[in-house]
Amino acid sequence: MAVVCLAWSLLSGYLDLLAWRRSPQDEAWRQWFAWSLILRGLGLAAVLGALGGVIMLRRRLDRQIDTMVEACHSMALGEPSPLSDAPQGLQNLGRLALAIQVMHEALLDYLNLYRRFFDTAPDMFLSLAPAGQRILDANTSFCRALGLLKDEVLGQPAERFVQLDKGWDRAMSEGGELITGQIKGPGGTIKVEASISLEGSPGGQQWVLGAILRDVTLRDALYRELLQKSTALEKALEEIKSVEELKDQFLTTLSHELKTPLVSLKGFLQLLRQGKASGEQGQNYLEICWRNLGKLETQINNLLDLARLSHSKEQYSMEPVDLSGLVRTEAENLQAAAAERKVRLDLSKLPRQEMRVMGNHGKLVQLVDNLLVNAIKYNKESGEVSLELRREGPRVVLRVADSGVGIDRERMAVIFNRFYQANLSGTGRLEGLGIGLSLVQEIVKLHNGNIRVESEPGMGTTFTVTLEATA
Amino acid sequence: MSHPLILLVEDDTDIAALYGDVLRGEGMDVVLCRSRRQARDWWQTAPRQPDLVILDVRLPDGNGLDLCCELGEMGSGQPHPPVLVLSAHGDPRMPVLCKQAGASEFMDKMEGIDGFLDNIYKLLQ
Repeated sequence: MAVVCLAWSLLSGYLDLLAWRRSPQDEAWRQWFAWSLILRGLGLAAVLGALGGVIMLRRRLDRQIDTMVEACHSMALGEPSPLSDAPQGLQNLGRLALAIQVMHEALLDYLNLYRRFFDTAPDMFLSLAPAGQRILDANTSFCRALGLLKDEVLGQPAERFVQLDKGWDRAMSEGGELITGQIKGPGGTIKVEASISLEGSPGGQQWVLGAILRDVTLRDALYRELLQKSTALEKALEEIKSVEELKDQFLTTLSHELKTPLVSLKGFLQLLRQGKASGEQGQNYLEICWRNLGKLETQINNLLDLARLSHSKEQYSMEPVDLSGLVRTEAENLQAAAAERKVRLDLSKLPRQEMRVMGNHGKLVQLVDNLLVNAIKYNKESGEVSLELRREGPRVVLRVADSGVGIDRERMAVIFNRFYQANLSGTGRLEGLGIGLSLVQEIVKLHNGNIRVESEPGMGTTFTVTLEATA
Repeated sequence: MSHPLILLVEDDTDIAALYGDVLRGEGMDVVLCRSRRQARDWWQTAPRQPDLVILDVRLPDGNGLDLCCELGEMGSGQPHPPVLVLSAHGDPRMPVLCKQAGASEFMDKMEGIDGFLDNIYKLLQ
């Protein structure tokens, strides 16, 4: 503008000068020209003055802008608000500086809010470099979990501290879902669940922004405990079901085993009552009734014994019992039953001399009787039952071996269960209530002894009872 | 007129003796078998079919109901004699199972001699 004014002034002056040369004698022209020159000189001076003022103002504004830029840089570096201390130097741009100051404080508030959220979060927050997974920032929870200072963590690769089960590379390529991993802290291994924040780059590549890690050690332990308990409960339920089945099976067997002697008793007594038998036949019927009465008594006593042995052991008096004589007597008593089933009893390994144990005579008879009856009952036709009794240090060992059907491995674990009864293949009927071995085990427990079973299907079974010897 | 022939399949010695004596007392001929196998063997070689079969459910080598099915199959399409199934089993499903196996009648052994004979005469008719 100033240049245009100057050019116009010079040009109009030059035109006036040309006009004056054509008529230099004209007084009016001369006066006009003189005044014109004065006025143009004044205008030129005013224009030059204004130009100088503008240059000075421009320099001043430049200085103020430099001050503001410097202040903004300081703020960006997190130095405390330099703008608030320099309002004097910013008379012209003061309002703008104030606006920047307000904006700065607002941003600081937001920053503080997120900082507090970041640092006080119980979950572990990591800000990661987009490539290379180096840690840019980490919150207090993460540093505390590692037992390290923040400075020791920043700039380090995340995989140095956090091991993800599927690895960082795969976790970064998949993202989104929760990934399990672990951190090794001063207090031991911490199990974590990580979620990785990913951002797609313009080139289609996935950049990692950060990761949130949650300590799931306690939850994991609880989960495992719950799982164990759940498994145990399932097992218990199965056992209950199995016991229920055994109970049903037992009740059916009980019904059968108690009814069978009763059928004979009732039938023969009915014949006797109706006078359909007399003399020798009548006597024979009475014998049958008596025998069946004995069977009933035995079954009922076995049931009662099992209940008593399970709950009150103190009522049985203990005394020295010659087991050698007891076993021989019981074996001889069962010779007839064995012969009926064509089973041979081998007593050659029974000692002639006394072999004493501290025990209850009646219960030991029951023990030997049950083992022998089972060995005969589950034997093959023309099979053998071998009895052996020997002293082994402070103990007396009784072995009852049969050459019968044997017991498979699965059933071996349950044969001492109450009401279990071996189910021989293809056999629909078995005598007894299935409490024999359970009773044997209770009697062995009563004598603080031990019972062991060895068996091979098709080859036979051996029961070994160990009892404490006495003088 | 020949006496009715009864095939009695019962493994319990005393019960077999009881029913055998009762049937013989009524003038019937009784063939006693102690197991499923024994009954099957007798059936295949018997000079004539029995007029009535009495089966116990629990036998040492199998189930009386299975034997009932087998007797039907061994008859080569001919109707087999009536079958009375006896049991001291407490299972309430037993009458239905017996019918399914082709038995004519089921009787609980606890019914006694009179009930037994009633069933025998009913089935022989």
